[in-house]
Amino acid sequence: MFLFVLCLIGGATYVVWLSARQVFLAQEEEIIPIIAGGALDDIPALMRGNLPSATVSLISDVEQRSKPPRMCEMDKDYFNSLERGLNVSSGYSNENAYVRKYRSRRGFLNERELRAARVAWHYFETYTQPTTGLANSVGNYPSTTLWDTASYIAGAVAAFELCLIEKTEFDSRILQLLTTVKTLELFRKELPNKVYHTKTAAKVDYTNKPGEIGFSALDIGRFLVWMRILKNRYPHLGNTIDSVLLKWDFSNAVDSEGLLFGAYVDKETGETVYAQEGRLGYEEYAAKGFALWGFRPILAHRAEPFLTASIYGVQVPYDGRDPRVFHSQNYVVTESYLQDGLELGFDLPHDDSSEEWVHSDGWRAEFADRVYQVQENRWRQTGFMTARSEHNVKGPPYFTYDTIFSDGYPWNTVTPRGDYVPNHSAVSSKAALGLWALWETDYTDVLYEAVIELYDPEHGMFEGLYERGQGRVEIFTANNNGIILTSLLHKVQGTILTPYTGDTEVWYTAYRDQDIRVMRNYPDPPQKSEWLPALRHSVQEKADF
Amino acid sequence: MTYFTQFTRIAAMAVICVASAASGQVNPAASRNEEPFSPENAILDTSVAFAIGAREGQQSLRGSFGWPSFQEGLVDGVYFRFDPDGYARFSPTPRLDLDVFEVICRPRTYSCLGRKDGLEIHLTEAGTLHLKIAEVGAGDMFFLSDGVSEIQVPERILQPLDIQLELLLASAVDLSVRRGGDDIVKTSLKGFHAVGSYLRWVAARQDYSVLPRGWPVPNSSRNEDTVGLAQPPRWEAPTLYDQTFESEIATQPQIGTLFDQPDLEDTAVSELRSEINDLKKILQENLVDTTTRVDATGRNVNSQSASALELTNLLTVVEALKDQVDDLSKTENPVGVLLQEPLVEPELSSSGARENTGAPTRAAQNLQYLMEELGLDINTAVTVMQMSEGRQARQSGMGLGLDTSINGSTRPTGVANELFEGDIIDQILQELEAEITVDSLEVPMVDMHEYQLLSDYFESAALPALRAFSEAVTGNAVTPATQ
Repeated sequence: MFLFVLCLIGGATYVVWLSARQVFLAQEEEIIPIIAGGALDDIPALMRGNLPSATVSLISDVEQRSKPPRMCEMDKDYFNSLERGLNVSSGYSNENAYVRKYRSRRGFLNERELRAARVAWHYFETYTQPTTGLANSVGNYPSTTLWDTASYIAGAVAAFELCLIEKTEFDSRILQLLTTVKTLELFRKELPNKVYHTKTAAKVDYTNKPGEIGFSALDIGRFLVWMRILKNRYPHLGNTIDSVLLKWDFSNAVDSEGLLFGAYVDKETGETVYAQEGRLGYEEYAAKGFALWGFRPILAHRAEPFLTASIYGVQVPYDGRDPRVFHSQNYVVTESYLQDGLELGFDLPHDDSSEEWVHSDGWRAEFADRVYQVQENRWRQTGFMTARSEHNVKGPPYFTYDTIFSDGYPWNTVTPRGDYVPNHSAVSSKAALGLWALWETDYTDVLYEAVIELYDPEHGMFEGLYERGQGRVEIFTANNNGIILTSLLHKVQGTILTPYTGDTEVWYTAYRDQDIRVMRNYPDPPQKSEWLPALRHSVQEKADF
Repeated sequence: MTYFTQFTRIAAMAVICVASAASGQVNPAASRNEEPFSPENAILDTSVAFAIGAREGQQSLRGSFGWPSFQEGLVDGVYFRFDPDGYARFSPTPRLDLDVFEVICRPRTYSCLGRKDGLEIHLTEAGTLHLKIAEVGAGDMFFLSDGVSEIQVPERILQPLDIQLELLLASAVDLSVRRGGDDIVKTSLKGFHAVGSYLRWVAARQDYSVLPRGWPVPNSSRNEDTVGLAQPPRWEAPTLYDQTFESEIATQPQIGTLFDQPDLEDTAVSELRSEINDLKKILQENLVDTTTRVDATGRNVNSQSASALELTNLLTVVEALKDQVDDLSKTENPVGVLLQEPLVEPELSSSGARENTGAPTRAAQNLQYLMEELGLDINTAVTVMQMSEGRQARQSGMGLGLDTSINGSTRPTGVANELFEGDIIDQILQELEAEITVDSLEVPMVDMHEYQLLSDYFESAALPALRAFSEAVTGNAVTPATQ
């Protein structure tokens, strides 16, 4: 009897133990693991800077692109084995990536191109100020913007990669420049002023007199693109670059909805006014610059609101914000699409692994195709060589938007104040060579012939060739020469932006023990959920007349 | 041989010199057009409106330099925009894309040039417009067209334009140059008038006094308060009151400036004076004729005779006052005495004189001006001066809560030295209307009829209408009289 009771108690104990074990194990299986960067991420802000930035290669475990060698270090058969996806048909993929109708040009530079590269670089040799390391925007006029400073950096990178200069000179120039940029007096302690005097590095107004104008989100966006290119290509410059950007206050440049804001000074009250900045083309390019540093300019990166205008059978996209209401011209020019294609490969900021002919920011590449096609169509149907962009002119009005479309008119050449100045329409040198680099076609061969020898060996490449027969646009600018060098470098190396090869960045880890990151809106390393979305828009399947 | 060699060298050097000199000649227009940007080229303040309704715009520049502001507007049927360096475009379309007159200024000077196609206009040192037409040769003929018909104009249009030719060109639509019956040049003149005015305005440092009569800006010389007139806040006042207030503030100081610079009195003032003198003549003639006619018909003889008598008396009073004012103006130190004397309700004695030998010179001059030039009686003239002073007092006390009302007990505290014809006329109209009903009792010698005539004139401000009125009364055509 005792044994029976003992067995009964033992059996019951075993059953209870077994059930308890099952319950315990079952609960253990239901535990949801915490994934860094996920919704349940409770890693304190103090540590978030150490998270790696999520890129396609990291998430999908695919091979990262690699930085190509300098031109003089390339094997002679380097391009023989280069895969170009020539058999891949154009169109959108399921992931909204886009394959263009035409491929980019690739290969070594020939003599004519090398000469053009040397002349273009000579602009920066001539017009860089030894006191500050800043290069003049236009000839010997001693002022510059961040946009044009980015063009100077582009020129220096190209000159180094094309073996026009060596590392000693490259480092010397870039370090002096970055040191100066770090010491620039900011606009009201926020971000760099729109314009600086290149000899003194003092902030100035549009007449180059001491003063302040405001800051430009577009200019800063382009500068951020080139800071990321520099940092990814040359890790030894990383700390310097981070220290420059960690002086800036981005709290008013990107809002919570992801729009970019510039600033100007109210003439009546003297107060700072923040205003949305950027139109279709430039806005998305600048947005990607911010996204490369962890910001999330999600609305600025979207094409909407946009409309299309049918020109020579091509539905040309333009910004839908009415200039009469917003007092900002919605010009369509080649430049911003070229810069996206040359520098970023029409890829999303987190894409560090797609093939060269696959553009993960699909609609940007597709829109760029239209911008190219309408210009070729104009040439074929009217005979006018067309490669349009914004460009400086000698004498009043000093600057024109030589547009494909703006303010309701196709082929509208307008001044910043809105005058129609068709006499200033021109084949832009930078646009022509940019198109030539990104679209390998018969038409861009014609453009190439028109501009490749359009230079003054003492000053650089001319701004362009007047469409109405007035000759060359006899002015020399940093932007023109910088983009020309970028185009030539693209022929040799492809997309200029290369992947980041490090782990953590000071940009993300600095000031974690203070509230400065919050005050200045410094971002955390972007995770997959924060990637800019890959979008697509309806494709024009046949010519529209 | 040596001489030959030397001669050859000299000749060669001469040829080289001539050739280099020739090659060194640069088209001034072209060189101006290619001038690099320089902030020192700014000669204009874009906040000073070239015409009413113009606005100053801010440029959003992509580049590192340029003009941060410009001015745009519509005047005389053409749209315009100009930069601080004087570079301007005039066109009948708002895009400034068709039929464009372009103005370019020589850097850092006020010397500007307007051009359209082969036509160039610039100002001579004498301030007249000078026309240049490309490809014009001897024997060419010039025609102006208004779109329907055309007239031939003399070759003299290639010389500095006199006012008649300038007005003729300004009113034309096209200018054609013909050689052997063929048009070799045909240029639209749309914007000619505006460009000519712009060139003068620029040359005069944005002084309004050089603009033609009828130009839609306050007709005054430049003053500090005109700065900012083109800025949006001036025109975007939320209420009509605010706009009026702004307008008054902007306008009033300019009035003083005009009178501070008597040389700048424009033709409008003299024409106004002339018209008022005409009125006086007409009034006198009308009364005399009426009296005569009424005598002949035997109707209302007494009343008309009384009117004529009263007028005669008034004129006598005016003459006496004039003498008195002359005496006052010759007084060495007149300031102060008049200030102590009440200017309201002046006594009208038989001599019409006031014992105010210490009256300020300025006040005396103004009084003289009102009576002699504008033909006012002493009562009205003094009241006008009071109103003017009251207005100034209102302005000086504006915002300070000062009592600036004008009534019979108010004494002037300063010299009424700044008047403007337009305001004077308004005041005179009000005063006359008031006096017709009120002062007629105080001055029984003048009945309502004379005042009504004067009032009608001012209300119409048109001489032809007065002539017609006079004709209706007298039955005779009236010849304008001038003094």
